[in-house]
Amino acid sequence: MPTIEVSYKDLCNLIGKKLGKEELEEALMYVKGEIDEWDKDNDLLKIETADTNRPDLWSAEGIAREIKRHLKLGKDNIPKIKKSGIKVIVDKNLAKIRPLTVCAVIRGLKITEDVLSQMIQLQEKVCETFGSKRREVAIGVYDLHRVTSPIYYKGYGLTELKFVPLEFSKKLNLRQILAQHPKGKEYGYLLEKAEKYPIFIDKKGEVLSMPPIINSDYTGKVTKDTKDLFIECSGFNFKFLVPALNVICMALVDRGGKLESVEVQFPDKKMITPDFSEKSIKFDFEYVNNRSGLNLKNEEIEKLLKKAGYSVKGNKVFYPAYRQDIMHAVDVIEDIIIGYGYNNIEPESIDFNFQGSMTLINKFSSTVASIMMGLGAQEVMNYTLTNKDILLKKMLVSMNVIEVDNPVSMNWVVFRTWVLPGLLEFLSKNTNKEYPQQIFEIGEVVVRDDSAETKSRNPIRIVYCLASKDATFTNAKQVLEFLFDSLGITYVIDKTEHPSFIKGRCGRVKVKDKKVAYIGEINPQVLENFGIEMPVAGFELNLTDLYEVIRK
Amino acid sequence: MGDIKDLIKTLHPLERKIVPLLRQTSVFSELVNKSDLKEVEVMRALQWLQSKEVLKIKEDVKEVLVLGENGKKALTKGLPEKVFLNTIKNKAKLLDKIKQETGLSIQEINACIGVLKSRAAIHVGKGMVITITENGRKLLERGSLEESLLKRISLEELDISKLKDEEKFAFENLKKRKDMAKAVIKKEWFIILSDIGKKIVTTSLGSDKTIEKLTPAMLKTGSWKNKEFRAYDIKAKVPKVFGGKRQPYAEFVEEVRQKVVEMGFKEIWGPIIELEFYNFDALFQPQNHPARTWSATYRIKEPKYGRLPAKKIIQAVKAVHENGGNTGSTGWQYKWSEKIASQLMPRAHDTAISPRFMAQDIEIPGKYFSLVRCFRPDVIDATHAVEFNQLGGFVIGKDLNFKHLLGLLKDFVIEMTGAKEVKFFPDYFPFTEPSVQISAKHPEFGWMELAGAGVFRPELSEPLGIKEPVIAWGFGIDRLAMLRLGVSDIRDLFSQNLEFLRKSKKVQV
Repeated sequence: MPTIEVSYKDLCNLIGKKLGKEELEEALMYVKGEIDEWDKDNDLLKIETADTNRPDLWSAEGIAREIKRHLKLGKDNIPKIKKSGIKVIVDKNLAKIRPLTVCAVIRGLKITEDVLSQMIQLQEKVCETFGSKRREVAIGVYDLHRVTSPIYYKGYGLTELKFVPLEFSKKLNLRQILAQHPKGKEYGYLLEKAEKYPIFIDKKGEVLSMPPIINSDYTGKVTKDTKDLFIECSGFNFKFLVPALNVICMALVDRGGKLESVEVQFPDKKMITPDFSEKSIKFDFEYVNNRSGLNLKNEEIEKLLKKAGYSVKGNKVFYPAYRQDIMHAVDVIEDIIIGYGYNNIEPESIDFNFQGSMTLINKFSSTVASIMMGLGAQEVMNYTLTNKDILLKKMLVSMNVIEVDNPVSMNWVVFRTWVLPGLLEFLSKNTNKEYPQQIFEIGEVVVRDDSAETKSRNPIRIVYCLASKDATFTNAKQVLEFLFDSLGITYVIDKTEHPSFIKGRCGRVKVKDKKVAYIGEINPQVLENFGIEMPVAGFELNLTDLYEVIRK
Repeated sequence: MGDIKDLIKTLHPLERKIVPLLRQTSVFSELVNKSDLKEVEVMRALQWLQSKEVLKIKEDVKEVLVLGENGKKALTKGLPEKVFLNTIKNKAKLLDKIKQETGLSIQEINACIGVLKSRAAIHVGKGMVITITENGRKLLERGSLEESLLKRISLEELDISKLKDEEKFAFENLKKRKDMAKAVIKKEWFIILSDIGKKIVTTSLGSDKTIEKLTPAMLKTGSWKNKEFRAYDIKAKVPKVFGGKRQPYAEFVEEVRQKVVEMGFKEIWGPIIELEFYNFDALFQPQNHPARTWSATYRIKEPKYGRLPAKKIIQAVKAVHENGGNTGSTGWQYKWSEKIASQLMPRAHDTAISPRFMAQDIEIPGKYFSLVRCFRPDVIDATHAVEFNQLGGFVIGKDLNFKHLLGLLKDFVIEMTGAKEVKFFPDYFPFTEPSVQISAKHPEFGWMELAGAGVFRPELSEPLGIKEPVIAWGFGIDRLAMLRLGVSDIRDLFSQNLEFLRKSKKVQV
């Protein structure tokens, strides 16, 4: 969720009305926004907006534009685009690297503190959130007077070119920028192993930038004294680049800038950018009422559409060029309902009622939990994620486990294949608490199964442990027997060996010939590995398998 | 006097033994000696009497001196230097000869020479002939400070804090020598009788006819009849026992599940390791979406790929991503990859389960829910964990619309929290349109965001063969659980502290 920082005064100026706190909160619903923080002393208002698909709302200008229209304080500005005469020539050597760009020129802009900070913020949010951390969209803004047309967008070798990157004082070659500049270190991976590195460079050989990394300090530094701007967006897909450029240009037009077009010459075609022509989508009045449940007349719908920035012609609605999120009529319908006001609608209960139900295995697990409580055992709950040290090494076993590729902590790396290790880990953290300690856990595990569509299964297990100076196999067997007796299940125990249990004191439990549990006294070496100085006996029982055999 | 009689009735046999002895002594160790009871028994009796306000136990800790092995030897034979001086009292002797006569070890001889020389008590002449001096004779007559201290230690208990200066000096010297004397910590308890205590020790307790413990034998023979039972101190503290208990968060989760079932929802389930297809693609999340990068969702090392569902569904989902298919949508306008969709990943949200079920023959109309663990490689802090529970589901029916969406959310939140006031906010979820978030004024915790919902986009439902509107919803249970359980860190929902679990109170949704 993007959080937008604005000046409250600036925002109200843009809206054209001073809104009180409550009014503002109501109005922010039109942009799916909420006040996150309001520092009145420093005139800093933080607005959290829920829509990650509406970059046009990620600036004071965009928020004000939407609110202003909804409050009927004014209409959208429609930019009249003149030709700038600036030309950008794209070299074919970028075809496989970062092939596309769209550009624009803004003239006569009065850059105040607010304009500058909003422009920087919008640029950042668009690149980070909408542009997938600059992969899909990188934006450069330059002082037009320091740039001479035509501008070339072309790939260079790492040591072929030198320029002073933003906030630096000496010239570096491309390799040095990637290695030394903070932005080079942050975004360099986006160009990893590229044959050539993309550069905007003008007629005089003045470098504008190395997208998506960094601007030049000379051409790419915009200050309050700058009046005319050259703007470019670079990436791979016009679907991202066109709306990104439009969003930036629209904000600057709202600030009084005059928008001008740029001719972009690709190896195979020519484009005039930006393209601010209206877009349209198929639309049906009846569908609005079906989806919304509101019985609105066509005129009412038209009014609401106008409030939301749309116009209707025939079976189509038209919407502004800075919107890129509209894919289906349902997107328009939401805007209509937002304009109507969610809280002005009477909620309607769903009148069909059914007998609800739990999954059978969860119901069975719940029964088992209540039996275990009757025995005086304390339930515990652990994560499904664990690590190999606990799951395998300390337990003296090896198993096929499913491991995550990108852990954020070494504590949580693999999915548990059994639950017992987690319980021993729990006991190891409570050696200073009163004994006897009688605990159990019921939970899912992840076991590899290549015959399953997701290559694994998640049986539910119950594990019981008694840690006490008198804990023996007998205790564990008594508990298991009580559990089985309560469920009306008969079982047999076969002798078995398992590295985690004491030899000769470990059993494999079978119900109707299905192996469902291990039971035994924990191997003292395992206890030592966990730092538990108290005998432990217990069992691990597969409830999913057990339930299946007893249902038959 | 009535009080005293009642009091006497409550006395345990151990107390009855101790009470008369308190007339003779107020020192714990003496009570042990005189009573023939074990220390623990005497202490237990005294503690009971203390809780009955008969007396107060005062603990006294002091350091006292005790003799070591060599100290005891020196007490009978004298200190080595005295033995040394005695052999040469009348005649100067060679060192070897002295050694022979005294039987002292080489270390002891060397120590003696050192000590005696420093006090000018001997003179060591040529060829190691040793002669006693005038000082030496005086020393022999008077005896040393160390000797007299050793003697005192053997006769009485010396409190180190009460030693005279010269005794302290002597003790310091003895400490330097091996195993002569040392200070040990000694605890003693003194009994201070209360007014009632003073009375009871002088009162005759009479013979004890009360029954201490009722036994099966007494019941069999009826020997308990016409006898009195010793009255217990029913206010006395008892040792704690810990009963069987649900883990409070597990119990909360189960109650939530139960409540949702009561609201007529049917539980559905999906695997922990899920196909990206269900986690993302079937939910109309494009394959280049930032939510699908490795920093936002877990990947697994191996196995990398699972099996996709039926071709028909795959084709429909592919079409809807690429160009909207038959849904009237523009689609995402990119080339959809079956390989990416077949990648496996730990389920990142409960909504992954919905398309799984929608793709099967589900009952329509219907209400479905799931409450499952989800996994995200989040930065771990007080409100973010890498593993957490999510509650969500969907309602499907022919004539459902936005009003029902609001109605569902409102009814749900009121049912779950007892809130009276709710407010709706426009929201954004990538797979629903329109989308809503509901805040409710919880009777205890005030306004809070509780749930979100929306109508599944046609791009999601239609490729799965569903024409009816589907309202999807999700309810934030962890925040409510944290408030309910009074924990401020989300990780504490999975508490690793047995004490916390044992003492936890039963919570309700």
